[in-house]
Amino acid sequence: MLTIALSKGRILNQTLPLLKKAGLEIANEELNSRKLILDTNLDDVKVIIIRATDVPVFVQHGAADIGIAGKDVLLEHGANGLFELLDLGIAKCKLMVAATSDKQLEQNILKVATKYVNSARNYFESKGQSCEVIKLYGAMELAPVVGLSHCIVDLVDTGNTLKANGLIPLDHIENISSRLVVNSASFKTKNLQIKNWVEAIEDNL
Amino acid sequence: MNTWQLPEGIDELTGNQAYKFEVLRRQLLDLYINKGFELVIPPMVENVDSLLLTSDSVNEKTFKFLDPASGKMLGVHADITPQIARIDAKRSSNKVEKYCYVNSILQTKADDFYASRSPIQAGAELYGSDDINTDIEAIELMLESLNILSIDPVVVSLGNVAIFNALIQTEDLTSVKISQLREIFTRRSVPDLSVFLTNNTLTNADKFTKLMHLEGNESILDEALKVFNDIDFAKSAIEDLIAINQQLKSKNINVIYDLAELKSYEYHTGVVFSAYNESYSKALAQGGRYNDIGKSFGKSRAATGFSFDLKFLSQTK
Repeated sequence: MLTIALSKGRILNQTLPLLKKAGLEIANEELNSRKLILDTNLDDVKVIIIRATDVPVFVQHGAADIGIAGKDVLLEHGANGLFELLDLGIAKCKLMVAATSDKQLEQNILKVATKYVNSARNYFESKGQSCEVIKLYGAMELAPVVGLSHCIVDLVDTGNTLKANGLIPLDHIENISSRLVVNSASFKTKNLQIKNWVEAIEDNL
Repeated sequence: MNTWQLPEGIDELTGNQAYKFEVLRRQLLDLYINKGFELVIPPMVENVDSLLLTSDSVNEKTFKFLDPASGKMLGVHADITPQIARIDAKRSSNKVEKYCYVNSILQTKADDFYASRSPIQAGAELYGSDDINTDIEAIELMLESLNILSIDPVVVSLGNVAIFNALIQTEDLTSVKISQLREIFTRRSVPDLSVFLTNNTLTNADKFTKLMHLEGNESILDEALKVFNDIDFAKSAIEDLIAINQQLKSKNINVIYDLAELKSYEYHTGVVFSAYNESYSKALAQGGRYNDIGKSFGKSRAATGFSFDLKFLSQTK
């Protein structure tokens, strides 16, 4: 039995066609039901659909063997006990620092508003910049505008939201896309089965 | 705060749990002692310098405090292996020495391998022989230990960190880049490796990519020989695995070869192994060769061994 954890939302819509090409299908009735563990066209593969941030946690603890999650989520989680075997090239964007101007970054202690607390801390630490991180769950762009922080660290796709709020993208921290991760113990005990799936997905990218 | 509440990651065994643990501890020690291993009980606290060796990860996991009597920094043992290295170095023996132990340890943070911060580490170590038969002896003893703990079936993952270390030697990389690369291999991140290889010019870039994919059944060993044919140290590391494979094959042990496997402690230098079972999401026992570990005590002796968290394994079915 193999369990695959998928991230809800935008990533899911782009993941399902990739899985289908690799030979794994989930019927619409299953997707639209309230079930949390979904059956697939294969008896020995089950799928769970959960919040993106929970995917690495489920995979790390072996509740799922394989997971598909954004690199942003993996960076934040630390990816302990996970092997990151494939870049699926979907849901692409960038993790960036943005502020009203680059002058804003010149602070003794930089105030950073972000959902990505660990990534932000690691990035500024690597630059030798002291910072105070303010955790927010949404509407990051508001923080510098209302004086809550000097800058934000957030995902940037088109940059339109930044622009609309008078922010400019400054430092590029990391390229983000969805990754296929595997529990490191499952990788040993179900090696062949997992490798076959990874290859099937990779061949159809 | 409730005064009866334990700190995070600290736990205790009572009643049947404690009795079960004790019975298994006795059985394991009987097994080791019957096989000629000497029981050692290293102290809970030592001078920090003796405990850490050169391992950053052991350093991070060690609780330290200032000894008002001597003015020295002391540490609570977070891993027994450095202590055994000290005991062995002090003896100045030229013979093969075998040690076993079951000890409470304390770690500042729980890691993948030890889920709690206060595991009871059980293990056995063999000093003074670089022969692959010693590695096999350690692997077999690890499997016998898991058998006593009723864990079945077991998949053994075998690798050799000397391959990665030999490959790194062929490149002119700063220590920062080396630890980045090591970290990428520990996370087995194929995408991050390809980014690293794009941003850094390495003479053997293709070998790093191939190494990351060298895992599976024994057939990958021949493949590995072809890839690393021109790097002597890597080649002999693979030949060691081939020799071990020959012996394990006859013993009907389920083995997966994973040449990209790097251990979390930097002190490993050669063959590394770990045991898995489908019901568990992490390695149950692990070990490997650490030939240079005695160096900081002035005596470099070949050494190999394994350990596991007996408190955790004694409580799971």
